[in-house]
Amino acid sequence: METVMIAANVTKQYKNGRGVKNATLSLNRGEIHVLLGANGAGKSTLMKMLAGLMEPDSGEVYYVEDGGKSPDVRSRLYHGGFLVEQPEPFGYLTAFENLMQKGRYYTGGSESAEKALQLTGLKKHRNERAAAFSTGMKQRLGLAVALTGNPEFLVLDEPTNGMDIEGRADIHNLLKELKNEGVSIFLSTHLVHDAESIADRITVIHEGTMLESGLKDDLLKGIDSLESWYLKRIRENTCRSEVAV
Amino acid sequence: MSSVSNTDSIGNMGSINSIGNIGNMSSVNSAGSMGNMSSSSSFGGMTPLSSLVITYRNELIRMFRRKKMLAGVITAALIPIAAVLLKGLAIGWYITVINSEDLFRTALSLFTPLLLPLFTMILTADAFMDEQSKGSLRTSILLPDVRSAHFTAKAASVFTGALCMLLALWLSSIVSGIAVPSRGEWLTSVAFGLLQCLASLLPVLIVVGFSSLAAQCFKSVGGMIVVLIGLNIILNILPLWLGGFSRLLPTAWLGFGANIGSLSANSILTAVAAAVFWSAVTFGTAMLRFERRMV
Repeated sequence: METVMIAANVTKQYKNGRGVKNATLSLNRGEIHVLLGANGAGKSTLMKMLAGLMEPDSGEVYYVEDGGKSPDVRSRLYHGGFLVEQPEPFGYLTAFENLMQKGRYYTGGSESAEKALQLTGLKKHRNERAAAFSTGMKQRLGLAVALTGNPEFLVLDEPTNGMDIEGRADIHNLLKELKNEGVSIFLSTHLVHDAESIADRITVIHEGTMLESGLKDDLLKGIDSLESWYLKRIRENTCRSEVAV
Repeated sequence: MSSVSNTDSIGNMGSINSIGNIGNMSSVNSAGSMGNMSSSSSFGGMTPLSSLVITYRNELIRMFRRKKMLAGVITAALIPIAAVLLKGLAIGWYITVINSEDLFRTALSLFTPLLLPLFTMILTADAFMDEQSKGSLRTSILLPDVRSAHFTAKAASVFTGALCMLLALWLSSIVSGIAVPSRGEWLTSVAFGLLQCLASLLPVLIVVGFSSLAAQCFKSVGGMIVVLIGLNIILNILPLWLGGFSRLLPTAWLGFGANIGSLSANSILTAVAAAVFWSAVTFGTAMLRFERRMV
């Protein structure tokens, strides 16, 4: 399977000791890879490093280009779409103008922005200023910005955060459609149900350490539910940490 | 966990080689999965320069949508009109004793050392600190260009904003008649007024440099502006002790544009050298800090 992006032995430690330790993962073409972890597990830190917003203390993140690795952040940003933490659009610009901030870098960016508005259900809010948007609408707009420019892959940090049930279902359907069109998607969530609903591959992160990674179908073999497996895995690891201390 | 035998357990891995998913590659080329990637190395035919132009255009669009930019342009345009009104009303001995030709220089002298640096600082703070506090700096950095390009575009857009304010002052001076002599060469006088405005941009370069640097060091806009004003006051007192060296201080040339007609070639060269030196130091340091900034 083709690989689109790789994080190899990436470590980032904050002063308070939290962060991400020695994380390695890859995003395969046409796959939805879900990073599952509780709040404070290190998901956003890892997502920031994947997006190039934060440099790892050690290790490397690179985008695979023409069969070779490209650590070039510009290349990664050009070919990818990113939504990291709570997206904050430019409030004094309209929804469409926000999208065109990215669309200008691409040939046919305007059409791509229109399509992104359509896909995220923001078409009717096209000419409204983003400052007046609710949290859920800002989340949709952030996703629309990520989709502008027809990216090859998406890196989405909790994309359904702040959304109602209907909104979450819409986004899940959209992500599945995008996957069918060949877009590779790496997303983080703390909601096991989200992971169960859309993931092809799941990686579990706990206290900055990656515990398990594999195809969802393999993970679900012989277990009741992903939730019970996840809780068991987390508790096992917590006990191990306490023993080590 | 026995039930998930096919998963790639990564609990204790030390290197990338231990992950089955990525295989045993020493480089990406050795991984069979990546051999047939479709070509996507181009940026849609964009060079770093054309990409920078788009980033700059984006910054300009955002800056011109802010009310503070509009306030700066309106203030600049109102100064010549206010000068004419005050002269007409003969308010204050200062205004009444100066002739029409000097009124433009006076308007420029009022605007460039005080209001223009203040508006420039505010625009710089908006471009960096306001975006950071609102969270939109992350949105802007995630646009497909490198951080140094984003920094350059932000600084260049603030500089363009200052240019627009000076042009507004110049145009307003022409409309209100204070840049147009009652006698003599109309074109020469108007062109010289434009030269004075453009020359006023030289100290703006230093102001943008210091403001950009301060914007990387402070968390609040108020704190940054208070410190910069304090620095300005100190730098205005220092010349009492520095003598001839005071000409190299960053604030020594804030009224440079208005007085360019009376300056010697030597003084102009010194001003240019000071601007180049201080802007290189401040922009260089600010860009380095911006590159490493956690967003």
